[in-house]
Order: sequence, then structure tokens, then C-alpha cells
Amino acid sequence: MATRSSKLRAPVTKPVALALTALVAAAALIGGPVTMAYWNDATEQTPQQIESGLLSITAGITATYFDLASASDVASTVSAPSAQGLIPGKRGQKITYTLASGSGDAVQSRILGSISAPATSVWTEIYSKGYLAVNAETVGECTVNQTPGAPSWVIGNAPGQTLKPGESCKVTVTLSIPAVANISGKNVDVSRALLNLRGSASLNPLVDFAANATLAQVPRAEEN
Amino acid sequence: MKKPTRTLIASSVAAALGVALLLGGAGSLAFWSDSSTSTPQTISSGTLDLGSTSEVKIGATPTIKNCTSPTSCSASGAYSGGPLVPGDVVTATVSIPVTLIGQNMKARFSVAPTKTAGAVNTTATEADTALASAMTITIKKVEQTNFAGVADAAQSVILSSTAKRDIPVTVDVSFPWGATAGQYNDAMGGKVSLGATYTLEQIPA
Repeated sequence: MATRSSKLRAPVTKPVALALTALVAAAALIGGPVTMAYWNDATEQTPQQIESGLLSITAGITATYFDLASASDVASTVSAPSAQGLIPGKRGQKITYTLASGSGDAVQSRILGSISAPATSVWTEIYSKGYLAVNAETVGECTVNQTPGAPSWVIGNAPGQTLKPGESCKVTVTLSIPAVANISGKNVDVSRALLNLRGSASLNPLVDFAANATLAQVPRAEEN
Repeated sequence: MKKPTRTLIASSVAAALGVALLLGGAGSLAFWSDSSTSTPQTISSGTLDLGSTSEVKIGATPTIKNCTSPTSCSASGAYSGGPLVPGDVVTATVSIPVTLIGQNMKARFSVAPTKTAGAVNTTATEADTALASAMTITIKKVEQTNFAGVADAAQSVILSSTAKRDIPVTVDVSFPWGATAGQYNDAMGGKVSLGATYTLEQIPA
């Protein structure tokens, strides 16, 4: 039995050896083109960190009232409403919007914005009848232009003017109502006219001015 | 002794003598000979080597310009490493040390740019991811070979046998201006880690 077994084993050994040899040869052939047949080397550069910059805008608002007969302004206080409000021929109001580029901004910018108020019927009436005197002026790196025929303004920049990081644009809107307005050649008692329009002499908000503005990055070629 | 028997013996003796002569001649008698051993010649294998990471160095001061389009750019100035903004293009040249030794040594030198959102080993923020998506790295030149400039694409050149020398690789890192205002607002304050993988691979001579 042992002899027979040994005879059977002999023919099996050869194919196994041949198969192993073929396998090794195949592995060598396959492996060759990838890692063995030629040389290569690789290295990686240490990553360099790059950061992007910022462009931001902040907006602030302050309001003061002033005596039409005096040059001095009176600070607005919410807790004393009797000290607020426009009084024909007596008290006017200044609203100052401060629009600023962030001090940490990475670029110069241009500003585009507006100051406007919702068109309530009373407000529109007061303005359209010429009872309201409005004016806007700027301090800083911007310009303001009134929309023709309306108490609203467009904020922008003069050609070549930009806001550098940390710089601001201040727009002050001045509102007042005269005691007497000359409308079409006739003097009108504005206090009485307003009372008729509003139906009440009590303090009553007429309008809320709002400013909104956007800073847009200036190409570096146009920075100054 | 009969004649055939004598003849056979004589033939055998003659044959034996002939064989002996032939054998003897081959050993020492039939011709001159001399021998010598040459000085051993050492054959060395060549070398294919890229310098280590620490040897990779940024060349001349990188420059920066700001472009609103490929043809409308500000003048270039030295880049001090500050934050980038839309339109910025930073151009830097990196020198990669390469050694290729061997008469038939030729190799393909490849540069593949890499970028990862955020600082190294930190979790990327949304701004980091947006910045990584917006920014591009373009291989502009490898040694004397200029490339058309495909963003974020690998480029390669063929190098011949050379002693160790630096291969200059010029890259542009760009933060696009954008097609519309605010297109890249989400990338403000982001960080991105830029790098490259350099590969040297032997090719048939």
C-alpha cells in the first residue's frame, strides 16, 4: 500500500512544482512594471497654509434734535419723548448713519447704499406739499445724492474714491418743518396744516428712515 | 607470425603512439601559451533620487498680483504672506533637488498639486471648505518647460542623467475674482493648506 501511495505521489509533485514556478514567474512579471523593473522616488512638499481675508461693514445710527433758532444740538433720549419729534418752526432732527469698513479688512472697497423711508400716506403728503425740509450731507469717503422728488438718497463714491480698511462714511440727514411755508405764493401755517393731516397733535411716529449699504471689493489695481 | 597479425600489431602501436603524442601536445609540448588576470573593473548601479522634504525650498520671494480677468491684472509686488482676497494670484518658485546618475538614466519628473481645506491637522470649517474649492494651483513652469496652465492638474517633464541639482517649479496660486459680486463671500476668513507631490520615475532611455 505504501509503495502504491508513493507511486501515486510522484506524478503529483511535478505539476505542483511547475505550478509554483509559473506562479513565481507570473508574480515577477506582474510586479516588475509596477515596482521592480525601474526606479522611482517621491516626496511631498510640506503644506503651506494660505488664509483668505475679510471684508466687512458696520452700520451705526445716532439721532439728535436741534433748536431751529440755535446752532446747538440736543442729544436724543428715548426716555423723554416730549423732547423728541419735529416741531414746526421750533425743533429739527438730524439722523447720522455711520457706515464703516472693518479695520481688519484685507482690501479697499466701494460703498453703494441708500437711505429711504416707507411711503406712508401722511409722510408722502407732508413732503409733497412742501412742508418738510430735508437735506443730506456726508463726511468721509462717500457721496450722497437725493433721489429727484423724493426724500431718499443714494450713497456712493466719487470716481477714484474708496474706503480703506477702518475708514467710514457718515451720512447726516437733516429734517425740519418750517412754521410757515410759502406754498404757491401763499403763506401756510404748517402747524395747523399738519394737525389737519394727522388728526392729532400728540407725538406720533411719522416715518422710519432706514439706511442700507453694501461694500464691494475694489481690484487692487484701482486701490489708492 | 603471420602477416595480418603483424600488420594489426603495427597499426595498434602506431595508433597508440599517435594518441599519446596528441595528448602530450595538448598538455605542454605542442604550442606556447600564457595567461594573465585583468584588474577588476567595478560596475556601480546608478542613482535616482529626489531630495527630502527638508531640502525643498521656496526660491525667490513670491509675488502677488490681483486680476479681475486673465488679461486685467494689477502690477506684481512682493508677497509677504498676508491673507488673500478674490483676484489674488501668488506666484512662487520651488526648487526640488534631483539626482539622476547612470549613462542611460532618464526619468519623468512629475508635480501634482495638492490642497486641503483648513490648517494641517484641524477640522475644516465651512469657510475653509469654500476657500479650498475656490482656490486653484496651476503649474506654470518646470525648469525650462512652460505649461498652458490647467488648474489643479499635474505636469511632468523628462530629465536626463544629472548630478544633484535643483529643478525649479513655478506655480500660481489663484483666488478667482468671481463672476458675480459676493460669489466667494463664504470663503472669507478661510484657511487652506497647499502642497505638492513630486515624483521621479525612470523611463526607458
